[in-house]
Amino acid sequence: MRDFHTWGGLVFGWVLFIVFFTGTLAVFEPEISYWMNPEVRVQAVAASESLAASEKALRKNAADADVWFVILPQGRSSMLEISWKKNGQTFDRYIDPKTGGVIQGRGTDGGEFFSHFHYELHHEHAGAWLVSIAGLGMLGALISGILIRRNVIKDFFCLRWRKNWLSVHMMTGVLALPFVVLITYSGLVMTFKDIMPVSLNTFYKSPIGFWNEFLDGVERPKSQETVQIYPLTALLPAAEKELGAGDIGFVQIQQPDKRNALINFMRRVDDRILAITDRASFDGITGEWLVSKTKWDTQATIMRSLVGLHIGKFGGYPMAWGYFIFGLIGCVMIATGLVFFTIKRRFKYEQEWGNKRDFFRAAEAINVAVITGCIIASISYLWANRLLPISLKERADAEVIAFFFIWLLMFIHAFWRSKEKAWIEQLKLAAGLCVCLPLLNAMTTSVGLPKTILRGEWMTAGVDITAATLGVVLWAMAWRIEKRWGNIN
Amino acid sequence: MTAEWEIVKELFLSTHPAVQWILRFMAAIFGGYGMTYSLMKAISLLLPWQKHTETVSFCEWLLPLVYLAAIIWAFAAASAQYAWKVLLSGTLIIGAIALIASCFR
Repeated sequence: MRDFHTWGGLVFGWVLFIVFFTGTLAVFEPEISYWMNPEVRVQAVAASESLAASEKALRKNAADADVWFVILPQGRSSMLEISWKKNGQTFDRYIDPKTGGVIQGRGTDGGEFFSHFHYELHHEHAGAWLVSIAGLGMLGALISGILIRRNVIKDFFCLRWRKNWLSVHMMTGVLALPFVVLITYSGLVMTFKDIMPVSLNTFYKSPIGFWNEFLDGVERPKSQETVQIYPLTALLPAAEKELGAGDIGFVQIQQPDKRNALINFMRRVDDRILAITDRASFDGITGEWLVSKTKWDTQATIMRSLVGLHIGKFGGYPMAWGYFIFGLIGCVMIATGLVFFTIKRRFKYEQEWGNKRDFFRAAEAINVAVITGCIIASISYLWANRLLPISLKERADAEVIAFFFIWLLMFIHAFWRSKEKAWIEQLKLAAGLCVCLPLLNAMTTSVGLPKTILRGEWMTAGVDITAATLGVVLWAMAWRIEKRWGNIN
Repeated sequence: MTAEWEIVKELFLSTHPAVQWILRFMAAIFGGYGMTYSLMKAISLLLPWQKHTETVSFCEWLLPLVYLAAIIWAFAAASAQYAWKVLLSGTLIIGAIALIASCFR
């Protein structure tokens, strides 16, 4: 068990820190996306006005599409978005709800990059497999960690804490234990259903077949005749009667502006744990109500509730901050575990020569490259969003390239410098980038910190303030480490 | 041919702690995969529920638990070789059950 925890922890710890850190950032995906799109700022309006504007925009921009989609402002996101599918490709735009015009933002993936990265590592299936195996390793490491030292939970609650690395690792582990178990398990449920759909493939040819039966929706053959659809605004009262007043989150129009058009109104998902969109279906041309699906079976409810617990969109800001803080505590648990591995074995390996020593030195360098490197890469992604020219082609890809390129530089730095210098310099760089983010924001856009605080635009201000706070914490860590190692050297 | 086979056999039957750990690791991931796959297949085919979506949803949250159990067991088993033996034969036996069950569906 001890060997499994130590070596399994090392093998997967690097992947797990990256997954946990980017996942923690993904908690605030709406806020990060809002911060990274400073041109998209609109006043909130009533749902009916948003629907009218979206229909106008879709008719203008997506005339021959197969599916139209409207994402209404809901929860922490105040932006109106339209999306359409044509020839297998998906397009999306931000819409001004007053005029129906497209808002030209800067090309960026926003916070969605962190959400996708944290379970795919930018490699779709292959990355998802690595993350899933690492996740199983995480659960195994938690179980083995408790089995190694069964008193750890008793020690935690009797407040028998000490101040060394192992203690920080164990105590943050126990503190975040329920959260980490829940997040890891629900995350595994989500990834495994995509990469190892054993049961699904037993009964269905593809996920589409499964979802069609799951959603129990109306199916209609394709039609060619062009007829204008029933206005969405006129359907809103009927939809709200089915799904709840003010609870409409999405509208999907299948075969828009065709004879067999079908309009699905869907409920929002950010005010309850169950992550399913209840839906009301209407005939696209006559506006007649066809069917509603608001009741779901037991196993489906269990499964989608686990998904809902993982993505944590419920509970508004208190829950989001709870997830964020516990996520950071989980990151500290993983990071201190990795660091403790090298500290525990340092004296043993300092005398050795050859392969063992090289491996150990490499492990220390990889620790720096993964932990501080990932932090620096993430904050650089936000810096790139402000610094790259707006008219740059493939700008969203360029921001992602900046993320990886900076990370590569940090890798090289970690192997080039001595262990002490690597940690201190990278921590200071991370701290500097984080603390200066509000400054950069104020200098390059019109949503700088003083303006957003005065306007009460807390989503944008929050990103600036949180980054600066984390920067201060990182600086304090660098200062503390410098003092401690300065004394030894 | 026998000389190379002796070396391979010695590696697979080794009791050296590092080799044991690596063999257990392989058993956990690949043996665990096989065991999980066949067990989930068998469960899907043997559950008597009418709605297939229910069976699929049930298996979706059960799968990680099964895989986790296989991984933990691979490291708790008496030896890496024993772990491989059980996970492989379990896969084959449960896989046979699943195969027979699929004839009736």
